[in-house]
Amino acid sequence: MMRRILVTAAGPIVSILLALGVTALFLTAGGYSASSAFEVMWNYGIEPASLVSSLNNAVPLYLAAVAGAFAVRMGLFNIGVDGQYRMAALAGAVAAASLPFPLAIRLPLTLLISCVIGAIWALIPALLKIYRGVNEVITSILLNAIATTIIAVLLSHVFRSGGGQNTGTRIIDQGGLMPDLVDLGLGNQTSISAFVIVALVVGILYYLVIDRSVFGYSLRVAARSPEAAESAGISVNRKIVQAMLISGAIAGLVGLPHILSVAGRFDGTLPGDLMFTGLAATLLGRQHPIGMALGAFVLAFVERSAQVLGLVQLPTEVGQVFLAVVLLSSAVGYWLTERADQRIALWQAVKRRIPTAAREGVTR
Amino acid sequence: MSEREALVRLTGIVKRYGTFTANDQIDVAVRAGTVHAIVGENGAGKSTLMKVLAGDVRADEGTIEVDGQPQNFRSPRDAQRVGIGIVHQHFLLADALRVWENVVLADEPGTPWRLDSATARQRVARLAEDNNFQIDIDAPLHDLGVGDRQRVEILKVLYREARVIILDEPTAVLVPSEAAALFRSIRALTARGAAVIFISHKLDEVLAFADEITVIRGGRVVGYTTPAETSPRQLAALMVEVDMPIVAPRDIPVGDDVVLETRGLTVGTAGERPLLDEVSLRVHSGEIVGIAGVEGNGQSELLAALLGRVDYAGSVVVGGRTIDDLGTKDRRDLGMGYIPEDRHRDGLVLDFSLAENAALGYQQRAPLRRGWWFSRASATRVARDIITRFDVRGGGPTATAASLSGGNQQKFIIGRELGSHPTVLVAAHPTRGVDIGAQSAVWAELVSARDAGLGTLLVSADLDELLALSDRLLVMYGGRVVAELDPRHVTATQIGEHMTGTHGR
Repeated sequence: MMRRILVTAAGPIVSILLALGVTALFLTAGGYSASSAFEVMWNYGIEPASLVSSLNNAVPLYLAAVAGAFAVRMGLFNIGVDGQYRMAALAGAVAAASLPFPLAIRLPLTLLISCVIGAIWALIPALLKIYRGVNEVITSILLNAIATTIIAVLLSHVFRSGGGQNTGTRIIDQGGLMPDLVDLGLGNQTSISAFVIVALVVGILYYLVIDRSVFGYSLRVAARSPEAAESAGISVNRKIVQAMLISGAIAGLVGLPHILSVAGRFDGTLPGDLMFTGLAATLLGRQHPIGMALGAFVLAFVERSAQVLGLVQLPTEVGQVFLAVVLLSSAVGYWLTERADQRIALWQAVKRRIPTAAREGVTR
Repeated sequence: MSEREALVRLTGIVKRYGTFTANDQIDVAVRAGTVHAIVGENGAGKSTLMKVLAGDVRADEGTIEVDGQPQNFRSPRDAQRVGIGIVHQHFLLADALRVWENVVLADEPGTPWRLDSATARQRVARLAEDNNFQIDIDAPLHDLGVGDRQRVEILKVLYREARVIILDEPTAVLVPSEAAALFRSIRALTARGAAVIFISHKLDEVLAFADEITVIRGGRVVGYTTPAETSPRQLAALMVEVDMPIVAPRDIPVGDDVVLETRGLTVGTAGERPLLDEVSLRVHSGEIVGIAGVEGNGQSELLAALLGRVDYAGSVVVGGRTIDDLGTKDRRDLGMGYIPEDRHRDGLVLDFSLAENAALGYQQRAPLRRGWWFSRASATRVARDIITRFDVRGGGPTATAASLSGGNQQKFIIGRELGSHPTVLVAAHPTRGVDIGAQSAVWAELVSARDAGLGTLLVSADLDELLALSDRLLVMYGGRVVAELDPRHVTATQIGEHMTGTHGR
């Protein structure tokens, strides 16, 4: 059991070490001192404000990671998280700004509406897959582009408030924003958003549904062996639709921390790379609910601490290089640790057998 | 046999997997122009030995000589180059490609940049014709049944001009007439100087067909003989320490109530000859109804229709209730047990643990389902019960299904289906590819379930099995049930005539 945990953890650690190594090479080749760059980053990263910011920023990454993981567990690759969260964020921003209810009703409704929009957007590739046999990767990438266009049209003609350069939805009043969970009061911007709770709930639900429910069991059977699933009375097509709906619903939450805690409305500041960084967390965390949380935090931490490099005349791209290498090395890291694991298992089996064999020899 | 005559000589082959020794100092010599059978129980080490010879795995010790030349195979490609070809028990074919494409795959005629499809097609067509294989070489592979798939595998080997042809349980999927055709074409090959290594459980077949027999038990060679010098019983005794399975005549009568009935069951595309044509049959409680037939005569469609996996005309009645509107899930929940045709494809999830596999098909029912939740504890308990009761060897509930040998996987599936107390059991080839020991265990379980009142529809390609177990025997040909026979008063020739559609001609 202990070994299992170690092996699972070893993969991400190997990829992070690899990423550090490559980043160091990149810095050294550019004529910078890697060690001083890392030192600056680390010192900045562990400041309370940075840690709080990393935690808050990890939330959307984690949500995107879980959304991706749900699809991966069904053998699907939901590359449409991008379009799903942007469509859902727009809907959420409009809902939060215009629903005439107090926060206790308005906030859950906003989350629900975003989930529904995300799920609907994810339903399209699922339906095309089961009825037309089109690969979900292709359709969801196309749907990302379509989402961009639809959002542009809606933003400029339907939901726009104000004029001129001001392209955004109406500002959400205090009664529609996500409250802070706790303000650590350690200086500037040290309040943790209540979205951490949302992420926590989503993570627990993910674990319960995938690992402990009959639904999760059916999903895993359908993903690994569609024929066996059909014979066992599990409709693979239905599982595809359900997995995509859930994946899309969670994806629908990804943009909300920015809308409801940072910007206060839907505008051009919504980050566009949440899906890719989130998928890196999916890979890094190996679709494990806690692993993905750690992965999301590490990635948010690196992103945050790389910001300081600009101040000391170092390239801020270090963060992106790190992320890219983490993505690439994830697969390699797993491969290495899996091999090592097999070796260890074999060695232990040999060790167990030899005393047994010796005893048998004596009794005979 | 002299040194010079041996086309292939394996000397002192040792192969270990961890601490398990699969092959322990095996010596085998195969002469050109002969059929050499290697017999042994599941897990005796036959397949490992053949993998060594085919270059799939490397032996830890020992030498392989072909034509007197020592060989060191690094890959199956090296073995192919000296003329060794293997037809695996579990086929390795590309579903999306056509028959001829599968045959030429990786050895395509033409330049590296261009596949000369005309030549390729022609060669495969000629090869099929020369060997009397009636197969549509343009058919996409996913349309083919098991028998045809095997022909494609054999064609692949022949296409590579193998001089040493290894057949890993080739008749496991064939009915007697097909097997006879296979043997004829193999004979034609040995006449041209090829050596055939033939792995089988079916001893009468081995005795009728092989020139020499090597018996392996527990990774060691325990006997070498020829058909003239031995008998099935002697051979079986050498292989395992159990007798050939015999089913005692029944003393509990068949029940009166019909547990499974089909009325005019038809499957097919409009405008084409139906694959399953107006099949009406009844299975009573406590009765085993056997379905005999050459592979591809509607058996697969019948199974799929009963399970609700294909659209069909006509109706299926279980326990007096018409279930045509129900999907597979509801049918399974009504108590329809199912032993699938292909255990790897739809009987197990290979990389799941046995505990998780124990729940397959029963995930919607207590005790595995607890409200929303999947009860891991129950799954482990069910798996442990199956393992004990059916003597499944190879691991506990946490072992993956893939780590079990084929026979044990099959025992596990049968244990799962019978252990759930089904009202009706649909069983396809329950003992395909399992050894005699496991076979008699499976038969005993089917018989005791029958005596307890279970109605079973048994589809099998093994006539011995059908004759031993069935209370009534139906024969399918061209998608129809063409005969109902009494297994106690029927000869193999009669069944053969019905199965090949030659009865009464």
